[in-house]
Amino acid sequence: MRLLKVAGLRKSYGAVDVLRGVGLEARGGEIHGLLGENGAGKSTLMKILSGVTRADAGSVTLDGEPLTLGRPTASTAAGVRTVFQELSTLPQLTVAENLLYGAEPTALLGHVRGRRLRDQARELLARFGLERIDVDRRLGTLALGDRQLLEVVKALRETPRVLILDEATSALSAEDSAWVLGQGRRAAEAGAVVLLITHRLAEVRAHAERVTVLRGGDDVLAVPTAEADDDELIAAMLGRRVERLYPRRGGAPAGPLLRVSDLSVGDRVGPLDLTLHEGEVLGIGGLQGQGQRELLMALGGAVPWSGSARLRDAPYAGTSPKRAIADGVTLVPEDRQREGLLLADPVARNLTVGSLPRFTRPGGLIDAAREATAAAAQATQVGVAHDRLGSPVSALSGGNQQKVVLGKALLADPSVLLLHDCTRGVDVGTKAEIFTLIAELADRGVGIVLYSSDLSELANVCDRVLVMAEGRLVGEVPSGELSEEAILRLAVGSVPDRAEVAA
Amino acid sequence: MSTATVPVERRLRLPRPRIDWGIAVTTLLLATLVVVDLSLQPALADITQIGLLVQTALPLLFVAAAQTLAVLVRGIDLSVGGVFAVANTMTAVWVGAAGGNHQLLLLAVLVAGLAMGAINGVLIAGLGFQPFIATLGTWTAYGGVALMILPSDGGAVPLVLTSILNGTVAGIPASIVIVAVLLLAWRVLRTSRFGTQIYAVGDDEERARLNGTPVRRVRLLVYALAGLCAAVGGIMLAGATSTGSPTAGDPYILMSLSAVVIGGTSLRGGAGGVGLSVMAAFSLILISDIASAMNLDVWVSVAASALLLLVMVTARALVERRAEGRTP
Repeated sequence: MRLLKVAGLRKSYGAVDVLRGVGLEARGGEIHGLLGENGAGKSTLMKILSGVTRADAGSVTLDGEPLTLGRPTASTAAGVRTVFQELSTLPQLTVAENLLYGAEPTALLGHVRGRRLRDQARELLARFGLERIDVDRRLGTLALGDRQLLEVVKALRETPRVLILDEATSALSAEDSAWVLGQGRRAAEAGAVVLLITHRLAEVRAHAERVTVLRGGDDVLAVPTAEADDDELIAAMLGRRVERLYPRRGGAPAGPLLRVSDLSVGDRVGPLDLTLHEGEVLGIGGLQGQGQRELLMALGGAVPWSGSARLRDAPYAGTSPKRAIADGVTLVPEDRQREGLLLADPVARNLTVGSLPRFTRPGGLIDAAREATAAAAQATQVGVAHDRLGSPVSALSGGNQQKVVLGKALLADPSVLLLHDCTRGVDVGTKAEIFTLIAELADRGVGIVLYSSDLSELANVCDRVLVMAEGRLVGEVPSGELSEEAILRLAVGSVPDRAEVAA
Repeated sequence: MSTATVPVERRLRLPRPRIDWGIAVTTLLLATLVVVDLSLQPALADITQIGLLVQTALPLLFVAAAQTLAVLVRGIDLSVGGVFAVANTMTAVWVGAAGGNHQLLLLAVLVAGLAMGAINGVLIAGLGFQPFIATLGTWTAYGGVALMILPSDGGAVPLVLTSILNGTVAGIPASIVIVAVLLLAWRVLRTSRFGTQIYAVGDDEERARLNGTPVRRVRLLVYALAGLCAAVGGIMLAGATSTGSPTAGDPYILMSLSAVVIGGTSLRGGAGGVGLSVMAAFSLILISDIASAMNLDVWVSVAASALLLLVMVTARALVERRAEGRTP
């Protein structure tokens, strides 16, 4: 029996320990599920196994033989094949060139024999029942689902000893997911160790014989799947958290503020309806990349969308960030450095840059005194030290930069604030300050839409949480029932019946 | 959750006629200019005359080929001007002055070009310099070397070179044969495994690495080959003008970039090719030929080239949008 054994694997990036001595045992002939929240270390573990990343310490053996890792070519030579979540196929090359990359049939001088290459690619596709895919097309012109299927075909070009499916089904339709998992099963039956990394609890339950749960860079549970129920697995994924981060809220949400119906962004997101109330903190949850970003960008006017919306009693168009801000809807984007800040400019200017017309005299010159006063007032509100107003934003810590972004957004005096993962990469102390600020704003009647990749944040800061999957709203956790478990349950789809959405 | 199964029929795609619009647009441009030039100067329709026209184009063709290689791996090579000048002055001074085996000495010039390109490659692939910065620096450095070899225009180009360039092979002017050899060499490179790796690195470096591509080695070799091509360009100019010039290379830097862009090689890397740039470079030469045939001022041909750059970039964007539809 083939056996993959990982022991004491450690990896840190700077001061952050991503893996703290992870262990894992997976047998050949079985599908082994690997579960964990975002940031639990799953992806890092897979990257080490596939040779993309080097581990700091620890050992990996296959059938008792140590595996040489650290380079993709070494892992491949050892028989480890990975179907990457972020596709590894090259968009400008053709399907045939991609499928046989590095194993092209060559003649003299490394000349690739074009016809034979295409024939081999066609044979390979036929082996997997994918004859419909044209081997001469540039890969980038294929639909995302087909590209993911080709990723699987490429990984199974030669029989693997270890097959890693790294969230390979997360972007796929049910039909395609079933196909991918079927290929995983076939590889297992041929004796391979198959590791299935997924967020979908139901998938692990349906396909994996065993499951290992990672949390915070440690393996916290390893059981045969049949011996653990969903609650046990979810509890293992979450663990215990003891953080007093979250402020008490005073007021309760009042009447409707922003009503959106039939919102769609391209064909990836929507149609969906939602209502935000005055003084409400509305959470948007779900796994990463389920359309939350697009939803917030659309509401903030940063991407084109279709559908209709009313802000208080007036129609709301949201056609550009500028108009959205003028109407009272302000978006705080996810990537503060790229989308929110002028890094080389001083803090004061960053605070006022979104509202410069207010400080501009007739003729186009800026009233420096009024600008400085406003900047100082904002700095006080969001808790940035006044002596930093003159320094470039790039000199500030991540947390302080985020406060500047918030200060800028608040200077426009919004009635709706859209926050996209505004505490990512922010230290705990600043997080608490930001949450307090959110609570104060809500108590003043501002409606806040908050997306966060951190479940505990959603559960503790929001009045209610809408959960998204594949671009749609799949459920709502009302205020009385808010908990990390409830959100995660909807997000991983272990209770598919609760698809009705009260908006 | 939307888990409705997609009917298989819906995903079948009709086979599209395979027209490579990038090549089509560039070919059309070249063909149009050839027709215009021939109608203005009917005397050109003669193999010897064409050979002479191609001879004037040779230096640019080779520098454009060099630039294309760098751009394909998502880089840029400003130092082609410097490498060109070093090769040009070496040919006019060292090779010309030395007695004996000129062919061997010309080979040494090519090796020097390869070495200068490899230095770029080490700076960029090995030490992680931005291609723009690294080759901006080496351009100046190589330019200095050229001035050291030959402080002002002059020198003596070996006769063997001029006679090769002005000769014929089986009745075909040597310049045309040289272009054919360049295109053939490119085809061999393009269809080799190394060629696929070049495109892979330019397409997406991270993904290329995931696929086991030796990314740094590919980059280094590509810059070395670019140095070689730029050196050939310098030798060609020396042969065509029978003299050396330490500053002759500089105009070719921007002209080669124009040729790359007009030809349709993506500045983002991974798409395009030397053949396209060669056609575009020849188009630029034809424009100045047409302008001089019509007795137009120099500024007209310069302005026309600039306009062409903008027109081609626009045309390409429009055609690609229609051909590809919406691609992510």
